[in-house]
Amino acid sequence: MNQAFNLKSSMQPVYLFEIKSYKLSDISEQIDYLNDKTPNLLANAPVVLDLNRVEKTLQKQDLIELIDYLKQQNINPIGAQCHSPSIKKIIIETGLNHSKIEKKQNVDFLSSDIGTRVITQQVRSGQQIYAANENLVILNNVSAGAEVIADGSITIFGALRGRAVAGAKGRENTQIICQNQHAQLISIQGQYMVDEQLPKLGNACRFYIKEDRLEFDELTTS
Amino acid sequence: MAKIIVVTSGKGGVGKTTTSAAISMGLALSGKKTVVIDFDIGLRNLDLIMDCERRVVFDFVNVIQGDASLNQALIKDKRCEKLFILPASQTRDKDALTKEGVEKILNELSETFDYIICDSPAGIEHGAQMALYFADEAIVVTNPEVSSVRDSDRILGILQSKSRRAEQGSSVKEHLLITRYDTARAAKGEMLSVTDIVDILAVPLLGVIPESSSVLTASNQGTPVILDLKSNAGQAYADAIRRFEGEDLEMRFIKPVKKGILSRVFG
Ligand SMILES: Nc1ncnc2c1ncn2[C@@H]1O[C@H](COP(=O)(O)OP(=O)(O)OP(=O)(O)O)[C@@H](O)[C@H]1O
Ligand SMILES: [Mg+2]
Repeated sequence: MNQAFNLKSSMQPVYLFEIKSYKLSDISEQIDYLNDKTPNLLANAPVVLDLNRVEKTLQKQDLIELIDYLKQQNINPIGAQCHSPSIKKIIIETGLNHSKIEKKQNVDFLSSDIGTRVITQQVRSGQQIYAANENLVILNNVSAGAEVIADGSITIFGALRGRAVAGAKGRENTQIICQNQHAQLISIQGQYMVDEQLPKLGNACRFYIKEDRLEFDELTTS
Repeated sequence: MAKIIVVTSGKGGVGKTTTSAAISMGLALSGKKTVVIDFDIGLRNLDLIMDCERRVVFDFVNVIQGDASLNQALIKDKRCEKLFILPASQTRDKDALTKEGVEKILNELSETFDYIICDSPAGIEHGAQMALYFADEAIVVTNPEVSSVRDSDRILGILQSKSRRAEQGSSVKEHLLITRYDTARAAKGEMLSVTDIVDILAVPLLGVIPESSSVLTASNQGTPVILDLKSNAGQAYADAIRRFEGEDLEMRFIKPVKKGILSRVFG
């Protein structure tokens, strides 16, 4: 097949505009301040509006005015997001896309103060990999019956069908990310999930500890 | 220099010996001087499938222990002059195989043969490890069941960590052979599909051998099933040989056959 297009990821950031007040006077004050401190930061930047904090009071007219104002300021709202169904409806009525962008958490992708061990081969049933005092990155599958353990965080680019244990010695802010979740067990800092506690099979997932509980996000793009 | 190929699986009874017989006969028929060694000490049955049971005088262990020469122990196949069998001992146990002993025999065979096929015993213990240690390539035999796939995955891990090639920093070339494949049951989801298995094991597929009653018939008659080119299993093994030799062939016998009206009435 002749390729009609190439897909390339661009490095231009999409800012998440977490709106705390939609009063234009408040917003313009902050934008002036930003433009003063870091000119061009927002010039033509695509942004996604996060409306969760104002979902109780925001009206359609407020959103329309907000979008107009941002465009005048050379800021380019490409989408907006909110959990509330009524706001979602307003978002779509104003012609924006409803999107879903994860807020960056305070945990690093991999703990940055320790080293990282990279495994390229599939980890097979019966094999165990332990990255002592390190993060672990696996560029392949982890088979059922295999176990990958790290004192730091674990990132798996293939399918995870076996067991993954991060923060094995109790290190904080560790996480497990996998591309294709079929795990037999997930454990972080001694807390674990098995069986039907685990997210839907086949999804990309991120597991982490929040308020002392093991939680997960499904990293779907829809 | 011969190429050493181990036929291995982890799980027992999945078709290693059937495959070793078929593959060695297939390579010999295509003109390669081939020897097939039975590593299943104590449970001889390669010689049965190859129909040379009553011609065994000396065996693999006799040669390792210096009680017989290789030439005395090798049995020449009656159907194909390029094919030789080195039978296992029925009376010894697996510990009779030592790394040094096996290496010496493989080196000697290497001088005159093109291919050495090692029929591994089941399991992942000593006998299986001896059979795979010196391999250049591995044919991993898997049935479409979860337990068999799991064991094959384990064997792949051992090939990647405990073989001579792994110890020297290179790797054993891996081939996946799915045997006893029942298209109808796979289509109903009662067994793993070819796609599932390839997904899990992530090894290049050499062939898919259908479940076929001709395999049992052939082994009872002492003919490697690859000689029965009327059977699906025989044709599938013949295809696998051609793929092994580098041809790019479509997989056959992996889709369920719709029964025609005649076979529904008469079959
Ligand atoms: N494609 C097939 N269709 C039907 N039966 C088969 C097929 N392949 C193998 N079998 C049957 O399965 C049984 C086991 O086969 P075989 O002895 O080759 O397995 P194995 O892996 O060598 O066993 P072991 O682990 O005991 O050495 C035999 O009865 C054989 O006839
Ligand atoms: Mg056998």
